[in-house]
Amino acid sequence: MRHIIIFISLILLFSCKIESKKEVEKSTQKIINETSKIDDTINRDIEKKKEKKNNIDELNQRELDYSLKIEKVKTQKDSVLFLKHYFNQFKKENDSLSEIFFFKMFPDNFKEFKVIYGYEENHENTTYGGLYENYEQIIDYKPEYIKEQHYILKLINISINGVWQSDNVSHLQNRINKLFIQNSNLFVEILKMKDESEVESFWFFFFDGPHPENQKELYGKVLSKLTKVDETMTPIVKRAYAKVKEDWAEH
Amino acid sequence: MGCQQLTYKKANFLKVVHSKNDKTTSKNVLSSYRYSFQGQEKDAETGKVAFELRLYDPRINRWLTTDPYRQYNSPYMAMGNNPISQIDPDGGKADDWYKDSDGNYTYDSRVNSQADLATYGLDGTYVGDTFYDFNALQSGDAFGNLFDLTNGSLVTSFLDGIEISNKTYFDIYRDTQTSNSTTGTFTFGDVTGFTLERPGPDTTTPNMRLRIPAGVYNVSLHNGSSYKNVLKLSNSQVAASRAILIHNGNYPKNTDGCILVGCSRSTDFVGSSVKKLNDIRAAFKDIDIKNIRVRVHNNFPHRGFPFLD
Repeated sequence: MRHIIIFISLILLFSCKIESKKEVEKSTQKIINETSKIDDTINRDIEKKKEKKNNIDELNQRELDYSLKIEKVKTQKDSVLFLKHYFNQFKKENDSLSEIFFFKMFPDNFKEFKVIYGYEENHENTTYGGLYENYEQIIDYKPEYIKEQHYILKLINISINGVWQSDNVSHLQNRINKLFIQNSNLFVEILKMKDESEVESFWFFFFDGPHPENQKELYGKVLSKLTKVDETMTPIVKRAYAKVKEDWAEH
Repeated sequence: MGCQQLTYKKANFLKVVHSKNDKTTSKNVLSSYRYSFQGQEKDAETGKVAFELRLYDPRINRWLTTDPYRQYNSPYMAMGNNPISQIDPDGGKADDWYKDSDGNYTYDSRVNSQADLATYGLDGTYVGDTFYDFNALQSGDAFGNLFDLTNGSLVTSFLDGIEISNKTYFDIYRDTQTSNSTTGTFTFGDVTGFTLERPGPDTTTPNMRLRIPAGVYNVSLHNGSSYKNVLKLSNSQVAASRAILIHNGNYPKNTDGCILVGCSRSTDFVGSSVKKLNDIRAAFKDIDIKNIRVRVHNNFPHRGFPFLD
């Protein structure tokens, strides 16, 4: 009997142990599960953060790329390549960054503009700029993300010291002529910040070209606009137009 | 010597009037036209050109019989060996043209001066030994010569429907006009492109800001203060002093009558102009400028053939 009791006790004890072990296992599993859930959540957060970081990095990298590319622009060939690249990118995706960098790349003065879009005639040889042919659309482009005053400032800066030549220079001049009539206030506001010689140079380029008599109508419109906006500029315009007529008196 | 006359009517289409014994016949000049070189009839039997006094073979530029007037050392030599610039109305001497009271340009073998007109009772004005019928050129396949009315220089010649000439032609075909401009195409040797001019109508009056008349123009080289090494056009209607040039430019405002050239065009615009001008410069570099003629054709679709009423 004693043996039996001992045996039963042992069984009970063993069974209790088993029960307890199961409990422990169960509870452990529970803890593991919970921990896992927490881990998942944490991991997801980390992933999200990582993703966000990656996006930021990517954006930064992209900006860096653009900046680097601009840094890399050392020659006319580079300018041509990047101007084309950013312009096409902007046309394709209409993204602000492309436009900003295209705009940054666009020439800032007449000399640069002529080198890229114009031509140079030396005796029997003519050297054409990298974007001489069929790139009127780049000159015609209408800014979407660039502020208008920045755009007009750039056009004014290109016009200063500009002289007429056919094709892209002529095309740009035509565009400036039209824009002035549409937005004479802004043009005058910006021009007022320039030296008088620069202002006169701008107006010279504005009217320059063969047969200046044909610009008489435009000249009349400009004077009429200035009467409303700022008449003090009128004598400068008259001087510039007279100079153009003098320069083109003969074929 | 028979009183034979060869007359180019000053009309809107080339007509050759061949009169004999005061009986006048006229016919539009077409490739099937029975008259041959210098307005003479073809001889049906021999296939040669039958001038009044003798037969002529235009392929070898020789008469088949001797010259009754012994004008040249060789009695078989025709038109002084220059069938392009000289005319022989009857197979005898090569003589002159006068403008009759109806405005027709008439060749008469008796006429060598204004005094001859009075002598033979002819009413008109002495012109000279050559003349140019401005509109005649448009017929394209006429037989005969085209001469400049003012200076007697030969513009071009046609023989058996084929133009025989040492000239190089710069052909401008106007085909589109707006209120601001006239645009078209051009061919000059291997060079082709587009043209832009002032709007119509054609005018000979300077400073009208309109295009020059269609027609044939002599060419000289222009080297001015603004444009260098470009072609300058002139003829009896458009004086060289007007400086009508073929130059670069893109918009109607860039011309007062000059012809702008370009690689592309759109409404009132030609593009990449200086490049095309340089192509033209390269094309005339090795040609004697005197041998270049600019022919301006009005080929507007709604008007049909330019000079045909």
